Amino acid sequence: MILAVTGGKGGVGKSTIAYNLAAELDALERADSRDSRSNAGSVVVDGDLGMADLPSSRGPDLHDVLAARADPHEAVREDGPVTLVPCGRTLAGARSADLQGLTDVFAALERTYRWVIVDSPAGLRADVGLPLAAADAAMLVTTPEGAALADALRVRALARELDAGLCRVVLNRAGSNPATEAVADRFGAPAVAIPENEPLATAQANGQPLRETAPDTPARRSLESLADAVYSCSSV
Amino acid sequence: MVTFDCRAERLDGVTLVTATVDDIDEPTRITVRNRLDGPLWPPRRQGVPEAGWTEDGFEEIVDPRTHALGYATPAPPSAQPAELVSAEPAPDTTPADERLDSANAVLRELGDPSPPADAVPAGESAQAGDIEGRQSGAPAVELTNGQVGKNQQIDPQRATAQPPAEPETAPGQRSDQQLPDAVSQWLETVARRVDRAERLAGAESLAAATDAVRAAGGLSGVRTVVARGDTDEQMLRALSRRAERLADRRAAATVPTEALSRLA
Repeated sequence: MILAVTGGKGGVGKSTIAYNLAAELDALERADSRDSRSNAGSVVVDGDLGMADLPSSRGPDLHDVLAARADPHEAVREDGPVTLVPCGRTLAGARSADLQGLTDVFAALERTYRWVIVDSPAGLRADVGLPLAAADAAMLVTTPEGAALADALRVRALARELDAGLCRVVLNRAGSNPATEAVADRFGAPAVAIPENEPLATAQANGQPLRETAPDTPARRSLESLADAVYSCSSV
Repeated sequence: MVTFDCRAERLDGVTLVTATVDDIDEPTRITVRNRLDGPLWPPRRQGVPEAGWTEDGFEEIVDPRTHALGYATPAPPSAQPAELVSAEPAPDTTPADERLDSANAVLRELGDPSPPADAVPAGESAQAGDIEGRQSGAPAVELTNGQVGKNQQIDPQRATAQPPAEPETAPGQRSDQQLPDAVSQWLETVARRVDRAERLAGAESLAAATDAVRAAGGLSGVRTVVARGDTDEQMLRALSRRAERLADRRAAATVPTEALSRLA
């Protein structure tokens, strides 16, 4: 299944959610050994071609794949806590990347991985639209601020136009009394609040999923429930 | 009955062809073909051709109204620059401009966010040249020449005169420290494919074969490994031959620094 993690505004926590979601889905799958499938595990694709922010290392990345210099599987890093396709950091790389190949990259990865989680960039350009067009489902990430919610609603409209079903709305850095019901009502999908969480930011900065650094926090439990939602809709 | 009218106009060495398709009573699939002797340059939005345009002309379902079509070509104009090949009623389909179902349509509507060429720093353009060179199948060694001059790490005399440490290189990768980034990246990519090929070749049990196929990224990955095998081998051998020759030439050329400085 291809899942687009998107949200419109920058800095709301899309990459953090995508990264942790992958870790949680891997764990759920390990615990549920009934399944025997041709594709297994999850992979996060850093889809921010201009301003990538997921951990990277030497070797081919998404820029190289989209410039036809590498096969999608050659860009996969399986050595970290979460399997990743990193994206290059150079403007020259972003310029040489051909976005039209993006859909094929997701499809190729989906043959090997059960969940292809696309960490989308901010904005409403084609680098947001193409993952949504290819995705089986979308997850919208927003913070409770008005500006972030307004941008998330714009992406919601785009997702509708592109037939990407909204799986969950993530209300990130929510306060003590999050307006999940109002948000769910407005967006037309269940909302999950993730409380403001210092360990989550620290874990992301160190390239670690929260389930490994602070498993007993409310934020971790919210991430787990997000993964449950994705898991149950992809098992059908 | 669908009517068709067209004309051509020459402007600054380019022929502009304008056509109108009229009297359409219901959604109709129309096919218009360019009759001029040259390539067709279709109208584009965000760098992507508008829906329905091909190398030969235009084919798309249109709704009942007057439609204007226009394209350019370097070919000289004629009295009948284009023709309506067919007009078949297609009652139950949605006209093309209302659909957003292809990568092209999404790119056209939302725009490619790639940075403009002017925004790419000059230092990075070497890498972009490298990209183009590799895509066109030029020998990889050719590309290193520019890099050698820039990094100044191949020449052992200079390497000792300068601090050899390269801050971006991670520790534990000493074998790559002497090579320019572009070269070592390419070698790493090839090394991965070689690793995969070795694992696939060496798999003797079903479990090992399954693992190796999975590591290669499934059967499509295996096909890639096979398809690139010959090219990889040829390029590696070409690189080694050319690098050898260059090293010999460099070793033979002694620069008479003192004599030159006296002349200057």
